Amino acid sequence: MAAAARLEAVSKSFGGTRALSSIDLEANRGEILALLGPNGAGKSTAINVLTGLRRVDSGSVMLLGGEPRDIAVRRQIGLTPQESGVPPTLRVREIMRLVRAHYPIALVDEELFERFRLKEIWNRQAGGLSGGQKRTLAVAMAFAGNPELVFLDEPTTGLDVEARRLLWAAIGAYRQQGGTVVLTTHYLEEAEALADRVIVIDRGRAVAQGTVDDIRRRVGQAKVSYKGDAPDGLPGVARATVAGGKVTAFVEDSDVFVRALVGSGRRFEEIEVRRASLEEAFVEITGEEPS
Amino acid sequence: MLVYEHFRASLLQLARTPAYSVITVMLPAVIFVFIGTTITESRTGANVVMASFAVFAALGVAFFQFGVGIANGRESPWEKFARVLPVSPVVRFLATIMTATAFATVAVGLVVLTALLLTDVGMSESAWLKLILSVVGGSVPMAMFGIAIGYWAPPSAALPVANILYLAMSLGGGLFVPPTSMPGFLDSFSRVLPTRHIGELAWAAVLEQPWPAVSWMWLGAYTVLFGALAVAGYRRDEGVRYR
Repeated sequence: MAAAARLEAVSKSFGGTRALSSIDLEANRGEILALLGPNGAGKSTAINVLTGLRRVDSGSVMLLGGEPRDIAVRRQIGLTPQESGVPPTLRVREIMRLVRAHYPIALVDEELFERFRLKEIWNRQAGGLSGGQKRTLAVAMAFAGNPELVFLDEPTTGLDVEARRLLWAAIGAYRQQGGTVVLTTHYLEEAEALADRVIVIDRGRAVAQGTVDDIRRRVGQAKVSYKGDAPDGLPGVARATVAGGKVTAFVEDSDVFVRALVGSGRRFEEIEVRRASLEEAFVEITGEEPS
Repeated sequence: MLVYEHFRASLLQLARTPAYSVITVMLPAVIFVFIGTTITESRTGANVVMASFAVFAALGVAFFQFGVGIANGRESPWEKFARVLPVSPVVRFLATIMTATAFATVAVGLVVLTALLLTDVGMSESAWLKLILSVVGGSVPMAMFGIAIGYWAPPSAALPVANILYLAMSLGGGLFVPPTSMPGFLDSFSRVLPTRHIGELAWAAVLEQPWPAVSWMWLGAYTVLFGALAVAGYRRDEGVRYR
């Protein structure tokens, strides 16, 4: 599969702080790639470097076969503005007119109405929109030019469930048509729902990458918890904690584990087995809570 | 046309922030009503005062539109977004110039209109033309100066800095008080200010005298100096913000 965007051994420092540390990262054409990581991990810097807002100290950046600062390349990408990054006095239709004027084959009004429900707010000034409406507008701005590759920075932060589902559907529909998406998120649920692939970034490096399942496998596919003896020595335990007689174990195969637990004659009660979440994998990989 | 789209968007934004735009545009005409209309014993006197305020009006746009506008834009998330749009910085800069020109035209136009309505101004067509050329020509170095303020002043300080320099340079350049009534040391100081030379050109125009060539030379030199400051400021900001 051809790469839509790539960072190769990219390093970037601000003052004395290393934001990216020889990071390798690749987004394939037609996929939704989620960048996950704690605050300050380098996710935003990675996006800024990919979109040409920042230059690299070393390493190379490829965007759609070219260089991010090339206008012809930028005609094929879309980006969400940051929170409050929309001129408050402009009306939604005026903002959309300006954004779309930059692209050769932009979406028409009806497509924007249908995908992002902009019709109700079409004549409203951006400053008067609710937080959710602003966020929806920001995401719609990234798609408005009908680009090949869209960068979404925290697309659904602060949105209610309904608005989030609407945007997820819009993002999914775009991918169905062959579009590529690179998004950062701190909702693991969002990565699980949308992403074909996840890259976990920590301290400026890509510490893990793969499908959501691959990442989950890093801690074991299943989470088994019970009250009783420690599971030391049982097969396929990736990680286990014992606190106050309560055991939590991440295991590769819950059937094999439970059979071995029973067979070992250890004491256990109130056993509970469920699929490990990406969130748990995240904590395992980075040693930090996602933020 | 992308230039037009950016021009249109910035005009709309300015039109909807009247607290800023109405004041910038109307202030010179309002002050003119109080000062200009009192000095009208002769048509020549009225012409000269109107010329001074026309320069004052154009200066305001240079200081605020470029100075404060750029300083505020430097930290705005919208500016960051606009940089990723597929548009060359040249196009966006042209749009800024168009917006400033539109604003300056209204601000200067209001001064002239007020003068025509309330005072006895009047001159030959060639004098009007030369007045316009003086104001336009003088706006070039001052726009560069505004851009330099925009890139060198911290965003929070840009407005007070622009305000103080705007008033100080207008006053020092003899736009409020004729230089002929200044004490000697002030007059000497005044002669090194770009505002004084814009004034000299505008006054010569309305007095139907030949332009003092030395003033054009001063303005040329200031254009080079302020232009260099503006470019250095722009590069410095790029280096900090987008390096």
